[in-house]
Amino acid sequence: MQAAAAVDPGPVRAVRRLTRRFGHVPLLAPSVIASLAVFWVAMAVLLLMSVYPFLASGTPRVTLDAWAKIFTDRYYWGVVSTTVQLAVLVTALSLLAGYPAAYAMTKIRRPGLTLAVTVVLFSPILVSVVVRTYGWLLLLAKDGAVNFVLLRAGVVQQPVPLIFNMTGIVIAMVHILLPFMVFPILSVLTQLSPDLKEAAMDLGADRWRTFRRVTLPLTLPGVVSGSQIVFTLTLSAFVTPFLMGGGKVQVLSSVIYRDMEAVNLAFASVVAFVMLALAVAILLLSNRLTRHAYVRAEVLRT
Amino acid sequence: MRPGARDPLGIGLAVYLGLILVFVVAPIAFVFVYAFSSVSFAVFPPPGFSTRWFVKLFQQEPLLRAAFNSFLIAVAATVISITLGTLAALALVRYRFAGRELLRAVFLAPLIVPRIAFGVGMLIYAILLRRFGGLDSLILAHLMLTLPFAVSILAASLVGADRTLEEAAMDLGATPVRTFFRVTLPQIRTGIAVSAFFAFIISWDQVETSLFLVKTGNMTLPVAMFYYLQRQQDPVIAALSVFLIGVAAVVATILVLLMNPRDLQRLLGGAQR
Repeated sequence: MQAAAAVDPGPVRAVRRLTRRFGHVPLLAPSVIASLAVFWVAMAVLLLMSVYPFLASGTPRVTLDAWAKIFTDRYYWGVVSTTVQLAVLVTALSLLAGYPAAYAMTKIRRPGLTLAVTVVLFSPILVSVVVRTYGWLLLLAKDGAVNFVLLRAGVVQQPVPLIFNMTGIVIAMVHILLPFMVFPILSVLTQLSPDLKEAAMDLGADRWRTFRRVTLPLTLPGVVSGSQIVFTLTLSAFVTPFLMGGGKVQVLSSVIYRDMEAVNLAFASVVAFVMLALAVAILLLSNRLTRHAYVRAEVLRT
Repeated sequence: MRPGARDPLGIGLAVYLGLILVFVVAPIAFVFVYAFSSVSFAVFPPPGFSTRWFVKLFQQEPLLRAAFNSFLIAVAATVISITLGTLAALALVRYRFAGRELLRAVFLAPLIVPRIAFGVGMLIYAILLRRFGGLDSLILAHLMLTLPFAVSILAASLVGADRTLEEAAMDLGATPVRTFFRVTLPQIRTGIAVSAFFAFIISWDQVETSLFLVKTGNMTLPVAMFYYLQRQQDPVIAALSVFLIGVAAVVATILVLLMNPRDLQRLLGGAQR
């Protein structure tokens, strides 16, 4: 190539220009082709299945039966409402548990302790969701440790039913998703400049007022993004609601599972899209809120 | 707030954080305890201790086979997503071109789509292609879930790499490929380690998408554990978890020791966006 350049720089420059303009094409091609050919085709096939059940016995035909069923059957409205309630509850409790925890972590002054707390708080991510759910089944069982303590302390006279109901699902889900709430909040809190708080204090604001008027608004982007992640993951969670619910609590994912077992692919596809629609709605809402939160944060900074 | 020094709010926060840590550790600690329980049911305190669940674990051929499958799938999904992800990240960071937003949507969509929904789609697709139950369809499905993380972490990592070094190497006559392997790659090795770690964990612990893609008798580990628990709740799963948690702890420790914490924080910030 260098020999050619010595003779005539024209073609070399042309090659350079070409790589500058189109060099990204071969780099992107493998992953774009893989995404389109696997993910996007799978989602397209799913959509097709919901209106044209081509794997069912008999001659397939275009039908909106499955879509009509979910929009008219009150039972499915109940399932959607249970799922959304669960997601709201888990998000709210994760936020209540996670925000003060993240705040407390920023107050630790010893780096070694910070590292230890971080490791303990985030290491459950390495443990399978199935195992963590099993741990809660053990803890919350009728003769499990929590009931043992409650009975011994005289708080209750009878063992409290903590599994195979909403309570158990919520406790285990908060446990599983807590790191996803703490992480975004912690990352905005650590980026917060201490000067701002000092300025507020110097101007006579007490601690609570400083927190409410300075810290909280500035960390809202983290709160919004953590809430969006936890909400979406709760909507689509399967293992924990299924095992902790013990067949007594129906959410969208367990309806999909049941329809798949009954080889009702068309209906499972429709329920999958309902779940997707909820996830997209929450994403759009959180994007709006984030923009709003950022604007407020900017106003505060200036 | 001044540190230490009998500050009621500070003490309150410390106690609160302690309680949260107990909540986080409790179920995992109990799995450990019950792995050595002498009875199969969840009674507290366990009436006695035994190692029989470990013996029973090694008689569970389907579980061991599932562990092997999961390992193969996770390694394949990790290697492929790192390779494709590095190439894509290079394009995203080093080139200016139209349609980047569309491209982001193509890559990042699997993060928004519920995994169980994608699993149903993959099952129908696999049946159409007559690939149902194959490890190849599982690897491809997992790749879709790991690739978004790999692309965003590696892109964040490449932004931090020094471009002038690459230009210097090229000016000195190195080919672009040689420049990449000798100059760029060493600079993004933390990014590669982090995204490999994420990809492996995501694939290794994937239930929702794999659930419908596995065949009875030839499953992945988390799916096999799920079905085992659904059938019977004995501490075989706890015994297995002791091994899994041990391996995870070793891997995490090695990773923490190998990595530059400042790099790590920046990359995890990038992964979030």
